[in-house]
Amino acid sequence: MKTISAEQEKEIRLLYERYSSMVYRRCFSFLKSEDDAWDAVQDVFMKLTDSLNSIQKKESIYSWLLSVSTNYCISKLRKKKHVEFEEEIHSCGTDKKLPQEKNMVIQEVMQHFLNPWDKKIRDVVLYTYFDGYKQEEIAEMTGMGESTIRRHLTTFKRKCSQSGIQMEDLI
Amino acid sequence: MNRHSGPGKYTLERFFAGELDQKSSAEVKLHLETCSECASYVKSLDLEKAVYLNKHPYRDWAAVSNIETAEISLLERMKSWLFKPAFYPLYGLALVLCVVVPFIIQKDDPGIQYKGNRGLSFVYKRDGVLHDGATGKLFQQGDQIQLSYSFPDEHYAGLLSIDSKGTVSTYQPVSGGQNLTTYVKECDNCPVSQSIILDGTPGGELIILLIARKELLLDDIRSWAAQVSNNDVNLSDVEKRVRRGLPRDVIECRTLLLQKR
Ligand SMILES: [Zn+2]
Repeated sequence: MKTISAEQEKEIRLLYERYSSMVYRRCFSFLKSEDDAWDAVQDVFMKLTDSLNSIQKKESIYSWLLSVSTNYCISKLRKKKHVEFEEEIHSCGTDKKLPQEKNMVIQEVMQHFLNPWDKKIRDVVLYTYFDGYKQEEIAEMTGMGESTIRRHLTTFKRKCSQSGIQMEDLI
Repeated sequence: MNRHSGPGKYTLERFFAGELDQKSSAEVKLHLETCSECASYVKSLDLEKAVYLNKHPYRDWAAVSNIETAEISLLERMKSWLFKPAFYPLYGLALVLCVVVPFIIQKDDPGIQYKGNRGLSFVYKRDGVLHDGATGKLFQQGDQIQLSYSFPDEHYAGLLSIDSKGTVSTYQPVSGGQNLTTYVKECDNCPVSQSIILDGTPGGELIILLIARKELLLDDIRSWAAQVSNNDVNLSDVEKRVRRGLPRDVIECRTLLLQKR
């Protein structure tokens, strides 16, 4: 049980009512499940409750929510992919060649997301292709310059074509 | 919406949330009067919000998230009344009920079916269905446990488990190899590369994730685990010994004690 003050409760309620439907909509697009999207909203707003004091006043709450929900959904998708893969290994008996190849692709995708400098690229890629935001908007929300955003997109496209990763593997 | 020179999706969403300053908000408003595409997007956000809040109102979120509001004003009012010496014997009794009784109950009944370090979370798959591991359940044979954790720097991660019979199981990245560990650059809530399928041995299963600065040799870790286990059926004690005497080169260890049917 987490106890919050009446004042905090009022603020959280206001933020929940203002933003939760948009967070839900976005998480649903990622996770393709109503239950998972509702779990995501629970988690994201719990984090918001915990971080309310540390979020800078001038920072957009919405951009903060987008960033936290991205992390949640990617991590959820990663877990799902991993369990699905493990399941395949255990059910396929002696022929383990195919899952291992699949594992290599998944590992590569996961590795791609694990590099610290790639987190910025990931956000730029998702905001561009997944959310359909303009480059000037992404610049505003992330604080990156538009030329940096374009460079990240180019790097991402190059990396994808080099390793043969399709967009569907990532989102 | 991105085809025209007006506001983009993100700006419309911020407008809808009331985040824009007065000037930008007025510009968007003006644009909405002439652009049916943007107007219908904002309208769809409004509609979705109504449907969503009807299905998941704030009180539902607060209930599932265990949020409780402190009645500060009421507390303040009651303070002076509650701290009267006449009530002290009652408080003594309450203390006995709250602290001693649960302690006695816990001795007879394991009560909590799982416990773990905050730094090690997990999901488990049973009969093809994925469940969140944070719900405190009794586990059973065949449950597939997938752990995840965060660690900010590069490291080597090794996974092993000890059951109530003292059997040590290790989960290597390459079966038949010499090492127990996998190199990880850094990780933010990422899955451990091996998952664990529980066997039918009744009792507990102590799962241990070792985070090391170097590769850990399988043989070294197996003999360390056999030593800390010492065939002790009380896995809580084993867990304490694990934490007290980590193997060489191990920076940190995360544990999870599961109870099986
Ligand atoms: Zn428009």
